[in-house]
Amino acid sequence: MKIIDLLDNESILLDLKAETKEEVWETLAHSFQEIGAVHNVEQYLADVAIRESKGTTGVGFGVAIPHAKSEGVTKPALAMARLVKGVNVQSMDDSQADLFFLIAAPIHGEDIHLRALSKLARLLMHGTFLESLRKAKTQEDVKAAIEANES
Amino acid sequence: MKFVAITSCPTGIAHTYMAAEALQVAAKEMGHDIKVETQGSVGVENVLTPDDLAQAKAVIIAADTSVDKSRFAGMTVIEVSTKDAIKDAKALITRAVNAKGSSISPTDQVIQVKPEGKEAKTGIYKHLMTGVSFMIPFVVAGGLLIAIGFAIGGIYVYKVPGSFGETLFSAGKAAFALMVPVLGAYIAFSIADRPAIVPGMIGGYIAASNGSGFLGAMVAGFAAGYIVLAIKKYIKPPKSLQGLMPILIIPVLSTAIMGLLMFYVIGKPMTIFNTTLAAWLTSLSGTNAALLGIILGCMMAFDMGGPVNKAAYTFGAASVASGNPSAIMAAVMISGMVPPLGIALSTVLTKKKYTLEEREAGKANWALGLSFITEGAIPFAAADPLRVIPSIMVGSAVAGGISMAFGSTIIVPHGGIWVLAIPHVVTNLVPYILALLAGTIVSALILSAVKKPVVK
Repeated sequence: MKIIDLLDNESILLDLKAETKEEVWETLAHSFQEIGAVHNVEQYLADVAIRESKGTTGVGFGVAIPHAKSEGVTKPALAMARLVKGVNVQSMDDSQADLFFLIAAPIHGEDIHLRALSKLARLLMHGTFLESLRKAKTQEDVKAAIEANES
Repeated sequence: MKFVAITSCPTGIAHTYMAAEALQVAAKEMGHDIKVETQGSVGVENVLTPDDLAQAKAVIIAADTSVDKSRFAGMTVIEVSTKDAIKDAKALITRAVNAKGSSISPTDQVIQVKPEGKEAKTGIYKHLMTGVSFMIPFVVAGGLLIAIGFAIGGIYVYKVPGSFGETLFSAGKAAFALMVPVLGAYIAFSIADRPAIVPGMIGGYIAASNGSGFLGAMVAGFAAGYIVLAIKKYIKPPKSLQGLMPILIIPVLSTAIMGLLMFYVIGKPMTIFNTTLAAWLTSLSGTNAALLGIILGCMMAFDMGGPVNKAAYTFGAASVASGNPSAIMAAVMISGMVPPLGIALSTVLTKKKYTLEEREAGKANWALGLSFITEGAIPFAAADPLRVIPSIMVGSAVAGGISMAFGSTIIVPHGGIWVLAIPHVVTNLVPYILALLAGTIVSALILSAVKKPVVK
């Protein structure tokens, strides 16, 4: 499974305006509901918050990857938001996060999507990849950037 | 410089891999070599081998979970959170570069520190797995070459020396001859490192030739490992003679002890056991057919090529030697096909209970089982004997019992599924195939139920 197989166009939000990280989570989580990946948004968001409370998922370089394995998730999915202006996520390097990847994973299920997510996690460590996401003009640009780097 | 690292985080989805990538990128930029084992939700990937540890200057553990450090006893270990690795991997590598090196090489220290108490259990499991992972390629290569040999030259391929089929068959047989010694050698290696390979391999070789089979080789492997550890601990030659330890004292002494042990403690009782077993089987000939089938099935699956299996097989082969159709041989063959097939099915049914390596070996087991090469099951049995052996014994007993109850007979001593297609080789073919299916499914279901998920 490829990363972009988990990333629906509906779930790529470019130039989102938000004041807090919770706002970003909510917006992205609702996109999950629309594509049928999450059936219980409240449950899912609660689990994301619990995960966040164990340690920030603001990994630095302006990137945040909130995530949770949750009963509220129907099938694995990935969502991305690029913010007009970064928000505070208690980043490891104190940067404001402007790139969000929200991950929804079901409690039980195949490991296949986990591999895709682990690849994404690795990609985020590369500055050039982040650069291309920040420059992307359309959803297709985002997917192309991911595809180009995923190998 | 070479380093090793482990990354792990609670959810095992993101930080584990980000930390791993950050370390790899940083090491590359700084001109160092690093191997990172990721312990994430996909399982453990890129596992560090004893070789990696031997070459590594230091260990970096970037984890937010508890990571088992027993492997690194004696090495320089730097422990941080995944956060530290993601945030500033270069600083971490610099710390590792400047870490105080120890005067003794890491491997020497590792083997001096023995796991105690609770850890001892995982230790034994680890030693078994090391032995098994070295044995698997031998089993797969040997089994498939033997099967191909049969496919080319028929089931009496070995009677035509020098033919193409026979040559492949013999190469396969050579791999089979080595697999049991290799099991002994690498169980011993896992315990006491390189010096233990000699006594372990020789002990395994003796086990193969004195009829104690892979179970004997497992005993030999553990014995060899601990003998070498004991020699290192208790024999302290004067400094001027210390150079002789690795090249003379350890190999000669440990091998001598091994040889005596295998002969007097394992070999002698083995011979008596074999004779008794053969006599007992002959005495059973007149009993209830289904019961005899069940007994033969249990024996075929018990040690797969070991003494008990050999006794049952010899008993069956003798009954067709005169060219007569034999119900006993039929039961022996069908129940000898069940263990690899049952395991292969189980690796498909419950993937999470097998390592990646085992799942791959599981695929080869389909071909091995269909070819009546019971040995395919050995790596699985050696890795987890108490769960695997009873499961496949039940399945084989079912197959043997059904075959005997329906009075299926066969006129050849080998060939697996491939001879079933030849007319008049097997009688009562439908119940015979039914016996195979039932045995396979029963084995697989029990095995899948009792196996524990792979330790992550």
